Amino acid sequence: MVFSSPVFLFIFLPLVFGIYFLVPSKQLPLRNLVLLCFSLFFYFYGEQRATVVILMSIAGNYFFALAISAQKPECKRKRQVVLWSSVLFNLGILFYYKYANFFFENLNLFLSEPVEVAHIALPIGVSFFTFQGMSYVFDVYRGLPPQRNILNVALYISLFPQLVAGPIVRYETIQSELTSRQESSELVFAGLSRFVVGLGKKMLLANTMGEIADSIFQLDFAVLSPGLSWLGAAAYAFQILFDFSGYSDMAIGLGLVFGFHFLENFNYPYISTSITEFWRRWHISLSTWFRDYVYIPLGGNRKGTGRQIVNIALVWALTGLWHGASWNFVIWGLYFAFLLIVEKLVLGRVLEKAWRPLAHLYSLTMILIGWVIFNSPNLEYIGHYLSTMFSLNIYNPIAPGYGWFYIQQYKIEWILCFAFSTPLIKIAVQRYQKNPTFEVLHSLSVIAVLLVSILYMVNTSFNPFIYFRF
Amino acid sequence: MNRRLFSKLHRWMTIVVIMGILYSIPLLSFLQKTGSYSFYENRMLAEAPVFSVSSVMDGSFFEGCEEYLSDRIYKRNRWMSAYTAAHLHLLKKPVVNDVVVAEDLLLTPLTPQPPFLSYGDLGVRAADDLRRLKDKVESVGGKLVVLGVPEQYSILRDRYPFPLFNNDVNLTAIETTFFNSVAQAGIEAVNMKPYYERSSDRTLLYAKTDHHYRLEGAYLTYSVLCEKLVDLGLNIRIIKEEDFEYVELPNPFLGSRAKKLIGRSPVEEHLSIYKLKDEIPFTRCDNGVPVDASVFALPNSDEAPVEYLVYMGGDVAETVIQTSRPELPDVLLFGNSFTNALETFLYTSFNETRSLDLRLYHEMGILEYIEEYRPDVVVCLRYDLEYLLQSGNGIIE
Repeated sequence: MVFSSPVFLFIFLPLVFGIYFLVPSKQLPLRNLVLLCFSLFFYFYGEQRATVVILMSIAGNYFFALAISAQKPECKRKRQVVLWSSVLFNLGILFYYKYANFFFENLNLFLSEPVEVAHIALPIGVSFFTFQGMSYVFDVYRGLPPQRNILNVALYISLFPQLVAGPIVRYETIQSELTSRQESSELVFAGLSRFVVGLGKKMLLANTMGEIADSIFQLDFAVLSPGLSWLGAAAYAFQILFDFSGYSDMAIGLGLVFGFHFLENFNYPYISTSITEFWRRWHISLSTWFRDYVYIPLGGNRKGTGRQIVNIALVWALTGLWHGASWNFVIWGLYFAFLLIVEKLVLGRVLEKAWRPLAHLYSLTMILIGWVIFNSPNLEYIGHYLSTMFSLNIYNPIAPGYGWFYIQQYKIEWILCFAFSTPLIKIAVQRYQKNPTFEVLHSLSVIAVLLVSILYMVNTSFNPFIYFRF
Repeated sequence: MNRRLFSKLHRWMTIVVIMGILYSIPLLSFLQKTGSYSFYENRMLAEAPVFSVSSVMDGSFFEGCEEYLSDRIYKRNRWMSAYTAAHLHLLKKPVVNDVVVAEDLLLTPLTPQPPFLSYGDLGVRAADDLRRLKDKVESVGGKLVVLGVPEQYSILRDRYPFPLFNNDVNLTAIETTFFNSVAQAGIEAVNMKPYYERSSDRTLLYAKTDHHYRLEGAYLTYSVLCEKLVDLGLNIRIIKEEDFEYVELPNPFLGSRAKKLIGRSPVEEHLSIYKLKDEIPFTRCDNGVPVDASVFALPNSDEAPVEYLVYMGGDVAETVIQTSRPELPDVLLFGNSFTNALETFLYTSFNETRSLDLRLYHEMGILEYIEEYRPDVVVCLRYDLEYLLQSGNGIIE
């Protein structure tokens, strides 16, 4: 069930709001139970048979956390054994459901007698809930108290707003809110407004940009001109930004309605002046997860430059692989590892002193190349697409000027994409938010965005969520 | 008003409005009565899914719920109409609902594609099929004529606004390949495209809002075809323009492309029918069942929108028109919906006119049909997008 579907908006959401707020606010365990039941149903709706996988993840992580906390702090070795067992358990789930097919496909290339493996379907959101489960055990290992009530662990891992497409909520972020939280009309208002903004980003911007990107990426290379290929890359960049940040907005907004405060996941990544900055602004929950749970435990930058380079390469290969079991994702991760290392060693200092528009141009160019790698079906396609982007043969006789169609057809959407990918609107909102007229205008805009999103929802069948496949 | 009170009031009002929208739409959707057919989309609407353990466990129940709610949402047509109007008039998009809104014309959007290099093989294959058809027709003493007509966007391809793609290179290559192959196979063929191109305004012959020709285009097709048949030695009478008069229907015409714009088409046009000065009595059977002796299916009122179904009542698997004039030859016409408007004229020149649409007729193959009814003339109507295809009316078996 995607947030931008009529079933979610008009059946699931009214039911969960209605029943949740019918329960008196003092009965928090009962409210949690309502949320848990709806969250598990939400997952079951999309993944009937794989629901057992998330239940397994909940039960496993619940017991591992209890086992860690049962050991005295001085029994470091025992605690580490349990911790590593939990890592194996979670990565085992991830490997089996996400990487086994990929692994054996590649292994078979080297075997004279190929290993035959039945196709294993990828459960929705497995990367997200596995990482949340690991975060729970890691945070308990680091000293946070474990949940004695398994229902609270189940709610933390399966909470429907962030269940299938993130953001990856760290246990430490909402640990206290699982058992004690404030709900108020301010939060409901802020949450609903944020949800609608996310819905609008998804329905009005991401889907439209997705149409452009899909049609350009599907064109025959004989038709593709350099201009058109850059346009396709830009459209995909906007699609993935508004698709994912829209989904995060919806998740954060729904969290607020129920009194949970999830951390921000995006911070205008396309205004970055370096790739290092970009990754501080993009999918923040994933990059901080890898930073805190992989990069720093590996030694981070504390063990010399050589080791730091190895750590960066390893973390980014894993980040790429996290996005999908395919070589183009690994290459995508290593591509960013390369850029981050170069920036760390040389380029970073140059970029800091460089004329800012030039630094922006550098970042955007590298980001767009990254998205081409990310969105390509195979290595051969990446090569063709990138060589077209940098080709000097600008004129295409088959469909001359066809790129202009995508600008003309979607001119309003392009303008909105540029505007919403910068903090301009946020700054304006913050500046005038104390003004009563602005407050009313803001609310009217939210209602208008909701109605226009419904208008698009009724009319368009093109409604994919990119991050569902992770 | 106190600032805090104002903020609180305004906050609550916004919550109530948003919740009102989220609760009222599903409620109204379940209360409203809807039909099972979507007129503008030309499809059946989804029915409520059947609940069972297996349908829940394989996910089909939930998929069915999604489709059902999407299709039955409250005032769905109004939402779609508002969406279309906003895209047409507010955002002024050149392509809306998969329709190119050109100047006083609706066309179909095309994806740019490179010239296809191997049409030759497809041409040879198409000609081989038609040669088999010709052999069969001649074995029963008849004559075969292949009649090629372009689709609306093809004949009006020069009217695509810049920078939209019109596929001119491929369309020309397909046309040339097909008619060259057919000529090499010794098959009589008529390519209508040059005849239409001679017209000062091709939108007098072709619909502006539909993918077919207008009745005027059908008449030109009829007269060129009949002249060809006379050249081939058939004794038929061709009705001239002075033998009938066109009557423009007052009803707004809802062409296939206008229909996609949910009744918001900025291009208006009206269809015509014609009246013979000297009526030719006839009987008509559709799929073996006698029906009204009429070649036009007229609406009940002058206001109701009409579709291309006006001609012959739309696509029928098999239509037989008898004029009881044994001195005239019998004709068999087969092809897609381009045959409909043509049939309204064709029957006037023949004793018996049979029309088949092989997409719908499955009782026997075309070769067997010819063997059974032994027509004097077989007209194979192809439209240019299907010249080289072996599907639908291109299946010769």
